[in-house]
Amino acid sequence: MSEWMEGLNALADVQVLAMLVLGVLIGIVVGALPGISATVGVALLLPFTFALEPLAGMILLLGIYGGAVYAGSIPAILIRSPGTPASAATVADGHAMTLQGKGVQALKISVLASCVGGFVGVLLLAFFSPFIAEFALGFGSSANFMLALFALTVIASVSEGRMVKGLISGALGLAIAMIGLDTIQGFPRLTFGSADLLSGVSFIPLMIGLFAVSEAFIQVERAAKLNLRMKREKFRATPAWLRKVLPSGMLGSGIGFIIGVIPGVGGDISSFVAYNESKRLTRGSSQYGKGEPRGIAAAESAKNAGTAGALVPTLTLGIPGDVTSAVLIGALTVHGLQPGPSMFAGSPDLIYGVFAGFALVYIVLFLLGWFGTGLWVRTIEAVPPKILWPTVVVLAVVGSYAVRSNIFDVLIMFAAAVLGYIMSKGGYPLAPLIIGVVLGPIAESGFRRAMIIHNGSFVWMLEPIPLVLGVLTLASIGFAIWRARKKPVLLTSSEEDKVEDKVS
Amino acid sequence: MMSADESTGVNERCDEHAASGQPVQEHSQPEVPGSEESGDTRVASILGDRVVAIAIMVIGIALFIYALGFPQPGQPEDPGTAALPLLISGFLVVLGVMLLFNAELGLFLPEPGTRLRTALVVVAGVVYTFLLTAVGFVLATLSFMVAGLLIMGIRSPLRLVLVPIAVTLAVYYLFTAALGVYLPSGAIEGMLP
Repeated sequence: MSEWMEGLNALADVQVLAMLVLGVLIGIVVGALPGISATVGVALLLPFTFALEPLAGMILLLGIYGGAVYAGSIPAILIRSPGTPASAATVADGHAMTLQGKGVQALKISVLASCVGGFVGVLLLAFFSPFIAEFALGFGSSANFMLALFALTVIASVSEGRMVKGLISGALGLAIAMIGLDTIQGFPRLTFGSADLLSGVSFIPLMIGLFAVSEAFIQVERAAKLNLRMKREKFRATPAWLRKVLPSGMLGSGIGFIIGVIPGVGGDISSFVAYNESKRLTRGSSQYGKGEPRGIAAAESAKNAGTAGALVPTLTLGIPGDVTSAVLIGALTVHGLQPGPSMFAGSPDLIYGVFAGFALVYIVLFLLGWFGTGLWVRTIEAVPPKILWPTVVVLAVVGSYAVRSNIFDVLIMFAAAVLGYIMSKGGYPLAPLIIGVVLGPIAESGFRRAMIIHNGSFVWMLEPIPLVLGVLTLASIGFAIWRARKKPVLLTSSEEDKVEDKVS
Repeated sequence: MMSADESTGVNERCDEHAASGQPVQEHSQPEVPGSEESGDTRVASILGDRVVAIAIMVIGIALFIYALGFPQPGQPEDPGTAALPLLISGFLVVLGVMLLFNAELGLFLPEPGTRLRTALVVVAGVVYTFLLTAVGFVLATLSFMVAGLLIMGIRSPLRLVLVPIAVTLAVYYLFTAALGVYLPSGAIEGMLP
């Protein structure tokens, strides 16, 4: 209880609250714009948090995160094009409702479900994390290794498209992580004599380049203005309507949170699973796909609950729950904080401040989103893409430079951007790479330390926790192979199924 | 899919192309209609993955050889600094081989018509980086913004003057005054308030 008090106390700071609102505002605009996903937004604005207090910085990024994940549904609903990938499940029913003249209603469902999902997700996060963190205090190197290994194999299982490409991406990430001084022997690997590389490839420039600037390069080809075409519509939320929509929202929240907790898996998958479950539970009501409010409610609440769920392994174990959480880890390490059980013990004000702040984000988001829908649409439409993308590059350059006042980092950023561009174009998922970069060192040092501690024998693999994780790892490898055997069945809307048929 | 988070991969591209009426290139049909460079891009499509596969194998082999030269571990029980590199390089070679046989159609290059634009943006970005230390943040950013806007197709003199100044000054003050970050300084910075 006292930790909550500490957290709320830390939250009740003008700077923190200002960052919260600012973050949500930025997040909504960023999430709705095509090409800028939540991850890109958080990565790009991460350098801004260097000068802020850790909590203020985290709250700013969480505000952006929450706002962006929600706002991706705005263009999904209005123009059938998701602003962030997690909103893909909302496209079918959302746009169908727009075509039926119920676009505003769909937007309101999205806001309500998102905020319910997010809020419930944060509550669950706050409830379960302390137990997990305490449990994890007893984790040794062996458990850390197995955990990292498990997370890596999960990434492979859920890679979009060909598993080979996802694995290549992950392997590249692991390789990049090897650059620098080896933590146990102190031997410089892959540094090619460069002093700048001794501490490894700087994470933040790598991330900014890989996600934000590569996307800028891709978007240079489009440069089309966003026209959301929202029509006027009368809609009132009645208690009966709420009764219809909220159960799906709760279902989505639960499913979303649980899936989000799995390391490496986040909001995008949970929204599809929740959508399908919601459809299944209503005995495949024929309205699904043609404008079923419950479908939207399930998908939206799941994706936001998944966001909170992804923070569970991130904060308690230091293992990223999804891509954006990997970025958030970077935000903490910049301040010298290492997410994991020790942070729970050592900085309760930060942890509980984050919980309370993240919950507040969804309240603020609801107020802004529900009452300001029309305003948002107009604001988003007003952003000129031709000016936006060069500005993104400037921010990226400055942000990368700001890490350690080194031009080399900016070059790393551009190299990562070119790599990210080639990978995106070629259908290689970017997420496994960054996850590999984060997990590689954890896995390697865990393995080597475990071997050293146990004098070269592998017996530590049979200890309870590593053993359970090891079994889970094998299970997820098995799942990945099984899934690759079948024709890749993506949980997508029918249009993408048609395209997938033609390509494969 | 988790990877869908950041990979604007083939499928999403197809949808957006279909929506904007551009010809969709990534389908396995004998003729790719609607593009004057259809022959060029179709060859590039299959080749792309194959080139990547070869590159991956080369990287894997190079890394393997390089890691063989790593020193032995200080303690006998330590798998050593070379353990992971060897493992990953071996893995990369295997994956490269798998990819070679699993190559799929993909458009690696910018869409026809925008290749120049994309290349120019990349070049402009790199030049910008080197200009930063040469002439300082303000001049470098102004130059880049003007170049960037021109590349994106903006021709109005008003915009070409106002926007770069606005963005440059905004970012400058945001990072130096509000966030306390040191930015490379050149001729102009001394004159600013």
